[in-house]
Amino acid sequence: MNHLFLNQMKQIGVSKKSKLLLTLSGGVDSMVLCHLLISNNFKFSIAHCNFLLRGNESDSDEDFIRSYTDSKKIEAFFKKFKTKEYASENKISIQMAARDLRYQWFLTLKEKNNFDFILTAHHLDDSVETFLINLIRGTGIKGLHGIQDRNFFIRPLICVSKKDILEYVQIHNIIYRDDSSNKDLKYVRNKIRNEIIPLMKDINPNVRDSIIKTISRIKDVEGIYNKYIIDKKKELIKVSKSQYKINIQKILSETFSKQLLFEIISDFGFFDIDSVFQSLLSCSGKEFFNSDYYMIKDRSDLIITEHITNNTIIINKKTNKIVSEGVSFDIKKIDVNDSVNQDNENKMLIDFDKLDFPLLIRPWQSGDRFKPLGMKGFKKLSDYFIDNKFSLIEKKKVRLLISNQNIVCILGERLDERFKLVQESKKVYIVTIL
Amino acid sequence: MVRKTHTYTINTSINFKNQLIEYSRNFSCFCFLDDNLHSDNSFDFLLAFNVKKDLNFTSNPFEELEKFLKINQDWVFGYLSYDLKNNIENLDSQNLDYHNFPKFHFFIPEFIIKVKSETVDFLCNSIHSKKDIDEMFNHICSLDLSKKSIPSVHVKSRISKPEYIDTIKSIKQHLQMGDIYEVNYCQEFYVDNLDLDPFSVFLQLNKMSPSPFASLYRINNHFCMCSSPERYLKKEGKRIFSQPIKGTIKRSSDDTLDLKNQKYLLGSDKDFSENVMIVDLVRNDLSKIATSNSVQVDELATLYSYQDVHHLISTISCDLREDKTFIDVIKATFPMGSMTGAPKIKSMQLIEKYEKTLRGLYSGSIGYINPEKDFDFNVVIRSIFFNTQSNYLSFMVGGAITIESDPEMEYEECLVKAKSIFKLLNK
Repeated sequence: MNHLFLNQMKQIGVSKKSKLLLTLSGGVDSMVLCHLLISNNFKFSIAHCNFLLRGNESDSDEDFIRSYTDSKKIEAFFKKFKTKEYASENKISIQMAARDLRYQWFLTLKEKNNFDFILTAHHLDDSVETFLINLIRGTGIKGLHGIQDRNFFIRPLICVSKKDILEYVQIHNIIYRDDSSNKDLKYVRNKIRNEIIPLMKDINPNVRDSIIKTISRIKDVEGIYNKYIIDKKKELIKVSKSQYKINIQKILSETFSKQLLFEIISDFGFFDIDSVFQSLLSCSGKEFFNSDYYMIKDRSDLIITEHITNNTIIINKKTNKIVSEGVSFDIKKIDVNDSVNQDNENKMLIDFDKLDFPLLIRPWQSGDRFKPLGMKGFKKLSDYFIDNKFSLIEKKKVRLLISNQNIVCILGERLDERFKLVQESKKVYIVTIL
Repeated sequence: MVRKTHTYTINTSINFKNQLIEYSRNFSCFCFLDDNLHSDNSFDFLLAFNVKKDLNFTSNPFEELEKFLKINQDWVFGYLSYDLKNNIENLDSQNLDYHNFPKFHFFIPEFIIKVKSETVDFLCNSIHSKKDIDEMFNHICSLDLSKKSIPSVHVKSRISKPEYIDTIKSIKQHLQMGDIYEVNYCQEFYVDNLDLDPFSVFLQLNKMSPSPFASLYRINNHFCMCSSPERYLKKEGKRIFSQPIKGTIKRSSDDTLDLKNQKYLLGSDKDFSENVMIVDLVRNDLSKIATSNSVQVDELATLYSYQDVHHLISTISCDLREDKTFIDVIKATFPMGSMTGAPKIKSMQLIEKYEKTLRGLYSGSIGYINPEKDFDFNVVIRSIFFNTQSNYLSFMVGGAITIESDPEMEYEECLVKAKSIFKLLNK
């Protein structure tokens, strides 16, 4: 068993010089790993989390580890977590909460103390059992690749079986604490370990090894899959001006178009793949929102941008600056004789006396009409957009300044003839998009 | 958010109502609610507009909404579409969706304007000064109604009358077999490529058929113009009320005939049993969130008369258990039995099988939750849906099919229910 452990450490790239942090619960697995580290003269400290979930038992676990590490002169970090409170605040399960808290703390410890690796005591049976649990509950490829090392989180016992661990405990007389937490998961794990796997062994005596092999093959397949997805994403997503465009024809001609699309949109936090996929086949204009992104099906593309607010802004006489989600405006009122720096095309110069307060800034809507500067008649905004080749997203970003239900200007784009400066104008109202 | 109230007085609320609708043109998301003086609500009508915070559909909408309501002690307006059933039960919706109405939307408005007789209350954040709100009020009062005519159009039906009759016959086989004992079957009417001003349509509809649960809801290009007579759920203190409608007969301009119709409806075994089946279902739904022994039927199949129809309405109420939230109530009762049938899940499966159009917001619910967590939600029926981008208009109507249903008469009932809408569009 010692050689399995050393082999794994070597494979990961851990040397005797590496600074290690062992997460020590006091349970049998982590105590065995601790013993292996000591007997092989690795440099390490330990971290123990007290999740305060099991009353006195949690505290006696902590005491146990304190006295153990004191006697072995191992540097030890302890922390108590208000797990239940954190779970209810964040509306997550206690298990998830414990995981979040644990990882956050380990990361800060690593930063502060320059640890190279953080070690956990997951073993081979954990991997097999996790695989089976996920298989039973339903999963994707990510649920079948077993427990994997992630960056500096490493699992030196991953090739060691539970049987070997228990033997090691016997031989080396290792003391440990029995963990009564997580009975549900323990129940499922025990059922798999004691009832299901033995049944499987009737069919295939080497079922554990077979599953381990399967997991490693799936890992390879996943690697290929991930590379395929990355390449396809590069091919299918066009990025310009913080807009992500996915050509619909192209994606539909892909063999695995739906799965590909799912991989793409889930990066942006969209998960309702069925609705999105359906929208590709329907007419333009279907929109999707989440807290960060906005996605719309245009004629030939699916376009994703950062969230654009559709709110109307109310401008009172004294308003001089508007800062809102996505767009900000600067507002100034000056005398007509004062000089204006005309360097900025985002600047709208408006005859102040023609305005009726409060003004509004809002997106366009169908039925809107205005008199573009220099023109005699009214023009529908929808026609103006067609003439000037506005895309769906550009239209979406359009903001109108409104005075008494009349359009004063398309901000940053075109003034309305009725509100332009004339000979008699006294004051200039200037709105600038920042 | 603690809202500050600014109060004003107006002369006539009718004119102000029109001006509010006119003002609402400036906002891409708003909710207008109007009880048309039918109830003793704390307001006659109300406009909530501009999104301060909102919540859109995600894969777990109810959990998100629960969080949203917990964090925000404020007025929340929004709607639930019928297809959220798929997030409550193991069902799906594969029928064609011509509207793409978002499945679900809730928002906290920047402003709420509440009108009760001659008093107007502006509820808003204290960053808006009294002067700003004065300016806003005066601006609204100065607005003229932009008169936009409603074009006369040809309304098409998604399924033909013979098809409808055949479907009812197939559904009756399920009734015969005992799969269900009542199902609400609906059909869609529509107009494509229609250039229409939804604000004028709503004002007209609300005038022609002033219903107690009228509403105009807008989210971007999507409009729902609702003239509903039906309440889904209301919570007041710890009491929950549900008021399903089942049983319909047309009104007549001739008083004697109208009275005869009333008597017919009140004496109709078919309508009474339709109503009782749903009352039973609602009692069952409510019992899941009620304190023990608190579910009661306050009114059973009582006659109420509206512009075009007489209805039988029941009121079922209960005390809400202290540990139950708005979400628990919705999960226990949505979609409302009057729009599904009984038993509920089997009915919804048959609806999915026999209807041709995805229901979306139709037979869903629009309403609000106030800072005290009291709420009031309607049933979205007698409603026109319009998309100003695709220029697609549609409405759905339906009725409860029981073993005693006569397919021809059910078809007639659909047309009666949509009479105001047909009149509005066909003239």
